[in-house]
Amino acid sequence: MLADDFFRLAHDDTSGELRVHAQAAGWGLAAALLGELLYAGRIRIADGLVHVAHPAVPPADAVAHGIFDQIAAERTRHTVRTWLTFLSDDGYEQVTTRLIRAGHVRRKASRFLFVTWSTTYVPVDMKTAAWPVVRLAMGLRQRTPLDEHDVFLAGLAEATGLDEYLIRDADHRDWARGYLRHLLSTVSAPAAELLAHTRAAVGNALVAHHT
Amino acid sequence: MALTDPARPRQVSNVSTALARNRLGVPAVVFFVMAAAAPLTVVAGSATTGFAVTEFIGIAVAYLAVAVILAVFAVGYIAMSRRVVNAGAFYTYVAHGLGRIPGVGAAFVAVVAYNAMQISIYGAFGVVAATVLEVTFGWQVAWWVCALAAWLLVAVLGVRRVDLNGYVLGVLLVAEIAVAVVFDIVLLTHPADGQVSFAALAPGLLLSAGAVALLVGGIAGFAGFEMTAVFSEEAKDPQRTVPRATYLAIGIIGVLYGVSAWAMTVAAGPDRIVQAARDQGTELFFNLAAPHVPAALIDLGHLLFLTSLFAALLAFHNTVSRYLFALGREQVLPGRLGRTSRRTGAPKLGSLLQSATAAAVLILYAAAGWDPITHLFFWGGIGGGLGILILMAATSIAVVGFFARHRHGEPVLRRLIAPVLAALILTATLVVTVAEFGELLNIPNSSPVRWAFPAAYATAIVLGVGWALILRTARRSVYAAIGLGADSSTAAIRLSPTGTAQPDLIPGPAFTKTSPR
Repeated sequence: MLADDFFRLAHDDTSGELRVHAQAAGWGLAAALLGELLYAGRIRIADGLVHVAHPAVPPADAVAHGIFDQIAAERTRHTVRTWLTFLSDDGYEQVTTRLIRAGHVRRKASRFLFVTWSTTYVPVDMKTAAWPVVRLAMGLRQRTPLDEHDVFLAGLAEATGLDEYLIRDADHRDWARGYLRHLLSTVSAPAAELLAHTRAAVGNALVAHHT
Repeated sequence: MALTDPARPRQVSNVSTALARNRLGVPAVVFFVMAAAAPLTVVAGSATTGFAVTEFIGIAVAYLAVAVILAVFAVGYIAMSRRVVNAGAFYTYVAHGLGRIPGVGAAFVAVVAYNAMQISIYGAFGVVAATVLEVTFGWQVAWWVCALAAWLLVAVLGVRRVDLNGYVLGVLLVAEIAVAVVFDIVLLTHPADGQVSFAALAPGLLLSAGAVALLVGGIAGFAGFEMTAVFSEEAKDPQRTVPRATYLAIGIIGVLYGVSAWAMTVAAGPDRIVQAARDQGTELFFNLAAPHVPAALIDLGHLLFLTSLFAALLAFHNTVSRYLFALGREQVLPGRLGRTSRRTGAPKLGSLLQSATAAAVLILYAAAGWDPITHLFFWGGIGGGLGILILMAATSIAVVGFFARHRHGEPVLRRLIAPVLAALILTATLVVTVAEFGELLNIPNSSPVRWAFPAAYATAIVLGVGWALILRTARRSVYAAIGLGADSSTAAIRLSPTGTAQPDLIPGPAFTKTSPR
């Protein structure tokens, strides 16, 4: 699933530490959750608004189903940005819940003086956890074709500032960057809109002086 | 699952409710804005230095006049802030209201102005910190050593994207205001000649050309108030919260500055304030109160003065680096500036550039032995204020231009009368300021130094306009996104099917601000 893969991109494959700052990870996960519904044909994105596709068939996955129901339950159509804001709030928890249920990560609380200071989600299997990074990094480095799922994932990496991390070992970074640009020019219009809003949301959070 | 199921009960939107929980009310917005204003920096720093350098006692009434002018300016500014994306930065208003070409000129002016403001504060910080170290520990430290120490801290915090926590800033702000109010009461109850003189508040003081030029110093003290508009997207009720917060912030700041400056003239005597300010510099506010309050309160005041200066340093540093970031995102400036550090999300390159500029200026001042208060703090502050004045004058004209094309159902007061009035006052002030700039800096009007800042801004405007013209012919997609800041990444999807940019930058449905209409 897209959000699972983005979670793996955004976290270290052994320690589970964040690779990007938490806000960017939140926006990226929110976009990935919407992306899952978009690529599954459950929602449409047009003119910056998120619509439920007809016929409205909820997806099988419990988390995706929940989000789909939330979108369907709204009386008015909200903007992509509104949904990103809404999902960035608890998207992290939703995705980790799904990963825990599937046995991919385990919760590790760092405690000191009986207080939980931070919670990390440590991957159970390093190979699975590292696979999305390896796949994208190889693809960008060797300029091999990627499927639409991975192109979108690469777009999320670009939007959240992870792209330079993916191509850090490339022999010709400029080629890799150029190839990434090319790949991103091939995504469908709704997905491009979703990616653009993610990128803008990550940037705006900085400009708007919030910590 | 039908979406228009008539049996579905009328319900409140879960999404709106959830998002509303995080929205800001009036007090929160006022706090955010005033924390950046750093009251003691202006009261103990700018006002006293203003007395000393300009030899003019009307500083008090000038602050009050500036508050009134800003309130008039804010009417149109706030009305427009609800209609444009990336609100909060003056250049976006210019880009939306007057066009992209002046917009880039305004952006370049802003970068120079906020840099000047930021770097100027190092002068005051260095001197005040050196004084505190000497009084407390008996250490003799040069001002520039303290300034460079602060510079290092700001540089590190800036790159690591550490903002001062909102609560910390809030506590400091309340403490600063409390100290200033207590001092004001003490000063006003201990007038110099046994009776309270209102000489410094006489409106007639504003009638001379020199006094009009002085308004620019007042404007520098309010820098940052424009940030209320940033919160229009996050305010509980954008129609009410932002205007109320803005006027409240302007009112509180204006009265605090005006009354404090007046109180100093009362306690020192209107005829002796200039000499006292020259002799005692930034210590004046504390020295005047010292005989009548416990020593601990004076120490606390000094400490808060330092934290106030430091908060202002960091706030302006972040403003500059974020401006550079937004311009980098638009690709108006090199795209590398639009990248953030992966782990911290800090606008790294912009932050480093600002720090490098500040370091160069500090080293120059230390090497040349120029006066940190007069030549750095005051001149830099006035120079920065001039840039903000240019931006505000351009913005108020832009508001008129914007509403001439898009009425949006705003009443005529907001879309025409107030912005025209603000534009006239600000432009007139600007003209007089440039004409009297030498007088303001207390150097002969024939001296070439008096042209340094006006020339710097003229250069910035020329470079910005020239660069925008190049972008228009050479890089149309970049040109189309000017004024969108971080939102520029969504510009491509706003291009019409023919591939040409839409005639204006009015947000499409996706960008409509959440205004309950």
